[in-house]
Amino acid sequence: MDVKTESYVAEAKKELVNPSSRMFLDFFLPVLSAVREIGLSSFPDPQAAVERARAIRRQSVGRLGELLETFERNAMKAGAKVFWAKTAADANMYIRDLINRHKIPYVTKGKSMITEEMGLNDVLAKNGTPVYETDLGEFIIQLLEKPPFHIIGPAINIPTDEICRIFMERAGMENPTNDPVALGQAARDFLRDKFKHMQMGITGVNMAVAETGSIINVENEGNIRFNKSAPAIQVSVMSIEKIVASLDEALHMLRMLCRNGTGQKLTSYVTVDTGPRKTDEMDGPEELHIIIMDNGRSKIYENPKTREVLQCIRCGACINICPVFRQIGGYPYGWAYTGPIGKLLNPLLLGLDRTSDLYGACTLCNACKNVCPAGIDHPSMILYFRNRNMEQDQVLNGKGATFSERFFANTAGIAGSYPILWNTATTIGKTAVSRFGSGHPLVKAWTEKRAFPPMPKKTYRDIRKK
Amino acid sequence: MNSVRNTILERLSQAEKTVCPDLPGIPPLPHLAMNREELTETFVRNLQEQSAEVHRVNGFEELRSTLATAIKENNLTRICVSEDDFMKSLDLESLSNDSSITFSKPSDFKDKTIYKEMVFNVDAGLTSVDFAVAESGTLIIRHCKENARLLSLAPLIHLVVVRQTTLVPVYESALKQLLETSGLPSQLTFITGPSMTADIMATPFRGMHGPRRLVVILLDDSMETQHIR
Repeated sequence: MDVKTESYVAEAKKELVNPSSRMFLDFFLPVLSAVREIGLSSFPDPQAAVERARAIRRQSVGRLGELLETFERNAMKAGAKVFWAKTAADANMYIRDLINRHKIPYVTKGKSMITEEMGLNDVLAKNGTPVYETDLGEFIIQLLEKPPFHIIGPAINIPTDEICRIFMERAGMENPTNDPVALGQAARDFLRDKFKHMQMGITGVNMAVAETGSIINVENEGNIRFNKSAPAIQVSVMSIEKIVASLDEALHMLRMLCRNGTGQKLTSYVTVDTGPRKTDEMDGPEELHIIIMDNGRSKIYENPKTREVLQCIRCGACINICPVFRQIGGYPYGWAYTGPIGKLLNPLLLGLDRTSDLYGACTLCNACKNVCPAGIDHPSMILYFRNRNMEQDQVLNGKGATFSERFFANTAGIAGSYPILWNTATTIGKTAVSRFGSGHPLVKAWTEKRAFPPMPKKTYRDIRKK
Repeated sequence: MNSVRNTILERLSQAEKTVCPDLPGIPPLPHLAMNREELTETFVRNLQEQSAEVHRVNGFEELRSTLATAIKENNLTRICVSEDDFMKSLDLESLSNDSSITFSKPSDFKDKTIYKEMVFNVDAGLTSVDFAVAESGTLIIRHCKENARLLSLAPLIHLVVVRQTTLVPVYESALKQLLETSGLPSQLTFITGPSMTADIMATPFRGMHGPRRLVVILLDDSMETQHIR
């Protein structure tokens, strides 16, 4: 997936005036936040449930190395193959080599953010292996070659006539229709054919359980179940942090994940895989490959401040509540992760220098931190990034202040060092504000929605001097 | 590869330790205090909220007639069935005396490819479940030779027979029983409703990849109401 984080501002400007994006952002996101509230209210003590989830994730990340070792041991005991990938390239190559070794004609995929981060589809395309996204939203944006609009509904804003056109062009649909249900049926038919003959299915992992060596996926459509039941080979990719210690902890996190994501008590399907199929089973994969990928996360782990980002369970609650995201949607974030968690992950994985607009565009309102079931303090980390960027932190790739930031800081510094400069500046400033106030085009952006207080004739110092 | 593993684990273990407070206690699970009838009502309500159809029946005769009605209403002619002991005890063959209905089983097919072809083409899958969970109206299936994965996934209609004695309050109760008896299977599936999506213009519809209809027949196989732990 191409990195377009540097187009954040330009894309945001476009989205602010895009009517179909506006319609969905204004309607869809508050609905998701509301159903989340309703879902959480099904707990007799929602706050206790949240506290336990936060503590579970904090402990999981705190004990990460130990849990990964336990997970690997138990997964292998159950018959899974475990591959450790240092980088996305390593993970991609492993999958590509597996495909070539077994002469796999095509693969199908469940919705997986981690494979978007890896850019897996592009690598497989170059290898000449067709990749079929099987989640309906992902399928649509794959055909349209668009980035995801939202983590849960990647294509939710796309008008039906656009979907109809692309389905007729590239998904074998014969009769035009604007009915979402009929379009869904067309996608089902096209992908059903792929499920019938597929030899390898690729999924992500919502949660891995150390004590049993199991991997867990949640979904509503059933495409992940197909990827885990129909082919001979299943490949499931997890980044190092997607792990909890025990089944009991996993069950609690599942309750939280589903309520925070879609407001459901549980999604239609949750599957817990422990090893490949047993020899006497009629279906299920003969081989289960679990890829544990680092891709910069052990470096993130080394800094206790940034380590907290690894607690994320990708529920989307922060994304839905963020006032900035509600204005601009997912496109401007320019990479696999969007919204508040994108403001944390993209800078850490790509560098503070390429993503300064992302963590710059935050009002620090704390809504994300308040809803986060994993206990991440986004605003604190955003401030940390701003500071580290200013200080040109070597580990995080801070680039230092921009020219205008340095100009203003230096100018204010000089003016503040010489009383005569300072007094002249404030006198001019007072007069300018009283005379021009809100109207002047130069300051309209700041003053359109705010009023200056009335400027007194004398400053406090003047009064004291008398 | 081993060196990648070791490098990652070394970096993680050498990093500064986070202070992790003990986990707070498990929040209250009110379903643990419900009696059988309350659990059943909660289970039914939750499952219906997720767009499944639930029929409560008393005894085998009512079960078989409800099943026959469901088959007729949905115009089902080819049904693939799970092969556990409970399903065998239902004597489904007698339902197919009306010869328009064919029941098949995965083990009828030696070749797994032909089995897959078949299960992709039947009208419905009919399975039992290992547990039913009241807290969210969830069915839990332990996949094995007797209860194949695709039965409850590929066909457009999933018919389920649930014994009320397998109804438990919360997921933890089911997992505990499972671990004490057969242990974790290769795949454990939690089903809470039919397949759903709203990915196109936020318009919800069922049957995206999995079943469009989930029809649950809940058999009261207990002799009297009991307090469930």
